[in-house]
Amino acid sequence: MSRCSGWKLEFGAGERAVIGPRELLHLFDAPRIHAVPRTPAHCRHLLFWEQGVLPVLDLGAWSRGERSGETATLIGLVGFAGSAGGAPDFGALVLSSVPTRIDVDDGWACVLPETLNRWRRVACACFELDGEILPVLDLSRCFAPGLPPSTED
Amino acid sequence: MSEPNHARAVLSFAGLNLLLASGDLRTIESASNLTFSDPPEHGLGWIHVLEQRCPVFALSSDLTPTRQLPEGRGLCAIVDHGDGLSGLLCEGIRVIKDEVGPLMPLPPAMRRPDSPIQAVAPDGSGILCAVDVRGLVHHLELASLIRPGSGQIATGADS
Repeated sequence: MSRCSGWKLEFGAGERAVIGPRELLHLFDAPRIHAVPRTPAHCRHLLFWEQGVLPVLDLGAWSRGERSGETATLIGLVGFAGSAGGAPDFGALVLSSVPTRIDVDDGWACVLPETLNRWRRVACACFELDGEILPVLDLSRCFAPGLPPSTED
Repeated sequence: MSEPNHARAVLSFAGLNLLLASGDLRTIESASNLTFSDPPEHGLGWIHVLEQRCPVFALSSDLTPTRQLPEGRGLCAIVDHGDGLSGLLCEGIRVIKDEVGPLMPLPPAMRRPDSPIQAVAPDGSGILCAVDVRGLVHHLELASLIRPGSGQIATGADS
């Protein structure tokens, strides 16, 4: 059995998921985000960062089929492998609390249960920790263009 | 992508700042010159300008056409969308030359095929949204479709 670590992210209303240890790069407390019209309900804002622009993805709103709020108290900046193995991509996630570092054992892997089926579109794995089922996010899928609502099969 | 020596216009309304391409703004009229009788299908009224009768639109914060004249829209930007002129009611219109920073494409995760927003740029503590006027007029035709069975103009709440 091999062990690795990760970050447990909270999206509010009990929605949780995990990302890799090197994918969380920066936390912003109440950053200024900007709404852009005619954008997906779960990704309506952007963040200017390092002479670039990042999409602000509200996975909690996405999971609940809601529209993201006007403000975000906590934002996690994430980096992940770009498409076709190119340069890394970056994005921002709306968080409801400070991420928690966790250790994961390969033997804890499990099947994503029906109750978390909505995460199937953005999860690449799943494991059970202390009785809690946690999807592992594939960030390239989270930030892919045209992510449909979680309620859409 | 900045265009030195070419004036561009920023149309402000409903908390938005839309950046037009150089040459898209033809002129500015007062909203008091509108006529509201027999309004165009998706618009509020008409305005006569440059020997043309132009449809005039008022847009909400999600670029959905409204059927009521919002408060504070005293200016009418006359824009050239290639196939003619249209009016957009604004709270403010700013003509700028070299003040726009580099335009950045909208991140893929934020793009929608029906959006006329092409790129963004920081603007002080706010944001400029660069729009393609031709796409914006096309968007108006799509966005203002009557919702089936409701008899209501789409509110854009699902944007």
